[in-house]
Amino acid sequence: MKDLIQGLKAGDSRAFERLVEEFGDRVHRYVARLAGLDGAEDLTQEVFLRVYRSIGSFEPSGGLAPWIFTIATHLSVDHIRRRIARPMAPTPSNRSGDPVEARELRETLVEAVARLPEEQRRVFYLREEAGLSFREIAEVLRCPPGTALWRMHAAMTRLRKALKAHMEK
Amino acid sequence: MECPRFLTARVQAAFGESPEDPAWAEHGPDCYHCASEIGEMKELRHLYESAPRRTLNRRSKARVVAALRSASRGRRLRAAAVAAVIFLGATLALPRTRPDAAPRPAAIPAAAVIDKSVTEIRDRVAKLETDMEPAKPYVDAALDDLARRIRLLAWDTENENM
Repeated sequence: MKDLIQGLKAGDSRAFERLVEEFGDRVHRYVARLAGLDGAEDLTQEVFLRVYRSIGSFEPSGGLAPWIFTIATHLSVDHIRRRIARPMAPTPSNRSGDPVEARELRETLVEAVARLPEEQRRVFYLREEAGLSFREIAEVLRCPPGTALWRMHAAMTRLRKALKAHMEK
Repeated sequence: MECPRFLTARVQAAFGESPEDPAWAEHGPDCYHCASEIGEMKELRHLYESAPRRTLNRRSKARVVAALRSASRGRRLRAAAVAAVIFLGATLALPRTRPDAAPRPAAIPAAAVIDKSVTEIRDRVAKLETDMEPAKPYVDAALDDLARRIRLLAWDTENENM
């Protein structure tokens, strides 16, 4: 990771490719979930440009991934404010042959995640879309790791209730 | 809520992290409630993961890399332009700054001003001499010497400046 950071600082083209290869999908999924699918690609590009422009101020004491997702979170929030966008609409399943019940259940879950309180939703997406550890999530959200875990527990409880309610219908 | 102490440990276990609570090692494996909740959370995660995952396609990734390269080129050009401006500015400013930097000579009054002052001093001394007659020759000689030295000094400085 150190050589990636040095490469970015030096403007090394291979470092750019590696950065996008390593974080591209995760950043895209995260900003799409947080800020909406509309404009998510542009927002992803903006995140990487901001990463490149700010790499000089990056402190190696923290992790690169939490730092990148902190930028992604801030830009997503700005994007939402600017466009008054809503969280991404549930992704319609494109898997043919999926049992209808399973698809419905999945859609219910995705919708329920989008309806979580903001703090819980961020923790959930940082974990499931960005793939960060709870320690890294705490770094992004500037809270103790225990708080991040507690929020995830609260999110899981809500989601389980939402699924249970759906199945009882 | 059961086993509230191990709430965060259950989350860590469900997400594949090692719980930090040292008591978990003894409690976790034997607790039905904790095992049950961990199982439910894992099922939920599995269901979420089975939803289609969006990825950046190759073209989009290439677009991002191109934007980064362009930003890098722009930064280099700006840095080069700034360096050139600083270099030019420094080069052009050098001849002008040298004389400014040299210490200026102390301002010396013109010869006429010195003469006038000497005359004034002489008048005042003359007035004093009338009150202290015995010391007159000594004061006269000292005053003449002083006037001569001041004139020489003024003459030398004026010629140096020319």
